[in-house]
Amino acid sequence: MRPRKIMLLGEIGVGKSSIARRLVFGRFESDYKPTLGVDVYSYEIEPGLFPGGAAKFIIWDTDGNFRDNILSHIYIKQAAGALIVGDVTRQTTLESMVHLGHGFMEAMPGRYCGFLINKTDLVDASIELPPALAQSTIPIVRTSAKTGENVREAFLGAADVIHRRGL
Amino acid sequence: MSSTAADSSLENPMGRARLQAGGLLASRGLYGFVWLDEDLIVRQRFGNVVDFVETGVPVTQSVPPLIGLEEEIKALKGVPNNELRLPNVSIVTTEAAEPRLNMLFYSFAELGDYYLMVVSRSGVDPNLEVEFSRQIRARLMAEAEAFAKSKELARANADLKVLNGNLEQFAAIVTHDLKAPMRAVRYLVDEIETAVGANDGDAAHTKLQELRRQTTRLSSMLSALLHYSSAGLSQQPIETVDTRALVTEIVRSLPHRGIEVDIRGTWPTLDTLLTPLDLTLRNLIDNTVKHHDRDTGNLVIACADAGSAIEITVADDGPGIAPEHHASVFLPYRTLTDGGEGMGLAIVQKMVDAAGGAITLASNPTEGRGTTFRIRWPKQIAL
Repeated sequence: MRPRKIMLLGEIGVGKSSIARRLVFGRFESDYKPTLGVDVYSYEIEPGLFPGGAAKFIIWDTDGNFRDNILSHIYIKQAAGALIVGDVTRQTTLESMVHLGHGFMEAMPGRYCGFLINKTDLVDASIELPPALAQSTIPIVRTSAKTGENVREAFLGAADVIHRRGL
Repeated sequence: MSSTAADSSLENPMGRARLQAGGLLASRGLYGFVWLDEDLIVRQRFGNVVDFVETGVPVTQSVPPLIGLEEEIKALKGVPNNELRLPNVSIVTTEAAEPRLNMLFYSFAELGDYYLMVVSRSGVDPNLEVEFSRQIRARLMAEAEAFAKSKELARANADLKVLNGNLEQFAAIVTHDLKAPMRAVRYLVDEIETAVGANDGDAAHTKLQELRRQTTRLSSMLSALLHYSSAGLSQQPIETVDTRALVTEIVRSLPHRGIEVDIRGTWPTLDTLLTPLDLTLRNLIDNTVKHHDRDTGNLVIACADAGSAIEITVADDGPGIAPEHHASVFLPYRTLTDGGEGMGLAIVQKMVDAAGGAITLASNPTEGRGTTFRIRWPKQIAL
């Protein structure tokens, strides 16, 4: 089973590490520790959870300070896809998601790209998204690393598309 | 911290101090080294910092941050002073805090297409890290250079040994085999002096003629010796040789009196030493014709495939060679008849040896006439 590389991109403090740790360890920590460089996780999806069968992800939880520079960094090489994370309580992070998403698709054409609107536990579910984000063709999943809502589903969705595209 | 070429030299005390400091850092678990072969398979690792690296498998399959980076690592090959850096990478396997690592990759074509991965714990002084990595590279390149030089030296020593052997043999032949004719010349001079002193013109004239004959013979022997000594040198080039065309031309160019020559068998085209093969066949055929005791006779020259070699046989119906002479006929100046200087078969032996082949002789006059020389000539020459 060939591992697939998935990038977690987004501004600092949007919850990339919390999402990764929720997925891999099933836990949430409220203490905020910024990621320096990159944390690399391994995660295996058991058979039967998505049409492609089993899958193995190598998740690259990146330093938010990279911003656009991550798109030309060696870390992004051979990535099968990216999940771009935004903090629903900070509009600027949602706006930069669109920019990052388009940048990733340009840098890595054909690869999977998804948006995760995180920290949904802190706001009303009906909150309006910035127009550019709402109109984007990139699939959006509303998540909460704190409660675990849709975190695994987001990765299962990514696994399915990656499998179908043969990435 | 900056470094110059002189500072990096192991001869420089500061250079050695820096390398020793690096070794100390490695021993204290701050650095680790992983050697990768050209397929990026981990061959060796040093330092507990790299304990997580699995040996015997490609590093780009077993180390999560390196998965899929084969192309990027292999792109280092052949590019001097190029390096690949993955800084501040943490491989998270448990919820506990994991160390951050810096990974640097170099390629080392000088050491047979190996790659070196240097892993350090983040937080070490970055200048020291770069300096240390440079020291490692400088040391490894110096070791590679020394290794190449020692191989060259061993090769030169081997060549020198062969040359010395040739020189010793040359000296032995000169002192032993040429002494007799030189002595004869000296005696003749004494006899001429005596004859002149006794006013015996006829005796002096006869001795002078003999002196002329001896000095001509001596000159001929020296030429043959030089020819023998220069035979089989490794500077001979490898050429594409049509062996059938070669043997046909040799037979055509040599006088063979009433001897019928028959060329048989399969004669291939080889990439081989042309001059040594030419001289081998030429001397054998010439030797056969020269020593045939009848006005007419037969000579069969055949070639057959013998796996990694060809087997050439030169078989005549001459008087034969007694078994007790079989070994000595290949020595310089050994002739069983009055014709020639006795160097022909010595040259053949030397040529065959130079090509890495072998020559044997089959003959027994008590059982019947004829002599067969059998040469095994390799299809590929190892120089």
